[in-house]
Amino acid sequence: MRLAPVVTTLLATFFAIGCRDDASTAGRPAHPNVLLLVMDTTRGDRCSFQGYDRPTTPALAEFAKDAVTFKETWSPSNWTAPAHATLFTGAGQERHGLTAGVRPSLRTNIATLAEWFTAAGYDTACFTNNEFVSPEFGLSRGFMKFDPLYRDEHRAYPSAKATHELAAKWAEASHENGKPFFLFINDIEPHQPYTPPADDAARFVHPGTTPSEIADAAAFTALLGLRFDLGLEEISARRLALWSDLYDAELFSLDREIGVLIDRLRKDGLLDSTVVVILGDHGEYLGEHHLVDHGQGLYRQVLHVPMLLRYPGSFDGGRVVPDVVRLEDVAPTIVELCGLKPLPDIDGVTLTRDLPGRVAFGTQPPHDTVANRAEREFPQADVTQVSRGIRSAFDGRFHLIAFSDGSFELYDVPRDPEEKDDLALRQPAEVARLKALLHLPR
Amino acid sequence: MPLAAVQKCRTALALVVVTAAAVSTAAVFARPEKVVAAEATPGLYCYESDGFRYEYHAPTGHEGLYDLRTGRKSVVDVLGSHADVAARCRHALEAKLHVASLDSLRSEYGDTIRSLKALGYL
Repeated sequence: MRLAPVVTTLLATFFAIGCRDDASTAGRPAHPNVLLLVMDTTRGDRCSFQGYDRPTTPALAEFAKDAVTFKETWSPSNWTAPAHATLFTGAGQERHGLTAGVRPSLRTNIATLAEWFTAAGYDTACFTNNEFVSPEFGLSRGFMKFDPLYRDEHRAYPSAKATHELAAKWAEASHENGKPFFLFINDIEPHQPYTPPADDAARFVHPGTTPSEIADAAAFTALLGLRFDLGLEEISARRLALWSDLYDAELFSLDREIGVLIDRLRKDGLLDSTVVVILGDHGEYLGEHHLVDHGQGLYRQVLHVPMLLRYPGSFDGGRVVPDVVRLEDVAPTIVELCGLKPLPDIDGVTLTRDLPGRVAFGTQPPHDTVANRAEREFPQADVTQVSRGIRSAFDGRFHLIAFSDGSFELYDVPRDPEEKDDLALRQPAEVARLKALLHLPR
Repeated sequence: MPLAAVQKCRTALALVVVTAAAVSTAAVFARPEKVVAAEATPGLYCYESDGFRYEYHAPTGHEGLYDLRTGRKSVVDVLGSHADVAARCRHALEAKLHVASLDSLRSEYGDTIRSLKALGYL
């Protein structure tokens, strides 16, 4: 009887070694690590690896050569909390419930990726620079280690370098302990205010921009953005152009640090045994549609995000996928690649197969937090534009945006990616078809 | 022992090991959907009564009411049409927590509230 534990240990050891041998041969461990990295507030069309003509993401462009680029990845929301809830659960807003005006925190009886991976024996950790990815919103649930970096008011900025250092050390320790890891990182650089390092700013701002203009541009407040959105205050075209340049510089700064992290995982010998997903949670307005910042409207600028997925043997070779995919699809894909049982209660579909034909849905509830603030701050103003409920559907060609007051807008995205030419009156058949997908009356 | 016999023994041992390992691995990674206990969401106070679930979220001051008779997923806030139920639940929760008003719980989340205000959320 006393031999039993010894035999078990020997078998387990033999098997563990066998696993490593199998993995090194095929390059495919049975239960790979996961790195899920969110580039907060990053627009898909501002990443050079997705075709942007300014060199904002050279490191990711290099990484993309051996990954898969999903060129039409869409978020279900225009702000952080609902988008992360979808990313962590595979559920749309209507299912996970973290939706402004419905519930400010994640429904307690829905499974999260972190809970799933922790239950499966992984080490799990979250390093977050965004206040909304926090316990108070229910988004830290399931992580064995939760590092709220946003709480340190004196942290160095840009914060990605220090964040990645902490995260890499944690991943290396997990690996040394013989456990697979699930690592989540939220990097905040592209979020307002835009304050990139001076050297990076210099690469992107237009000639003639003065240091004082750059300093002034950092003086953004949510209230200023709201005044502009409501038409109560104008922001000069020069300021908007400068914000656009500084936004690009923030992306460039973040891209460099992501490159450093990827290189470190490669040198550690961890990269090929790790499912790496790098994506945006939502985008950003830079003056389009007379909007800045994010949190309102469901135009492409806030819903279209970048996404790279790398896992040798499944997602590699520099493939570019033009089909519509959604944030909902990320969780079931990761779970499948790691050999875990599927998550229950989800809307997403794995990205390992059947890519064509997906439709991305977006929601902004009526009278959400932005609308409430607008009504409170500007009681005399017409806040209809920000208080209407909005739903949208994108099928890869047409993007229908339906407002709760009964109005619609329709855009032919491949022809009009900035969504300037509303086709709703000229394409009634397409409007009707997409309305049906939203279960709206014809 | 002839080489072929040695090879057979090694193959048999390998099969035993692989089978045992597969069983143990399956037990770890294909366990039923048992989720680790969800830690409480800080600042979220709940009260269930008469088929409704009342929630008060101190960091935002948001209160919601969800009809559990339509399912446990409770993603439709029915507070507007059941204000009386919400009021009953709120008072019961205040009594249970020994506070005069649920809003008094917000003082514990001063830092969070300041951050949310700065972000324009509140």
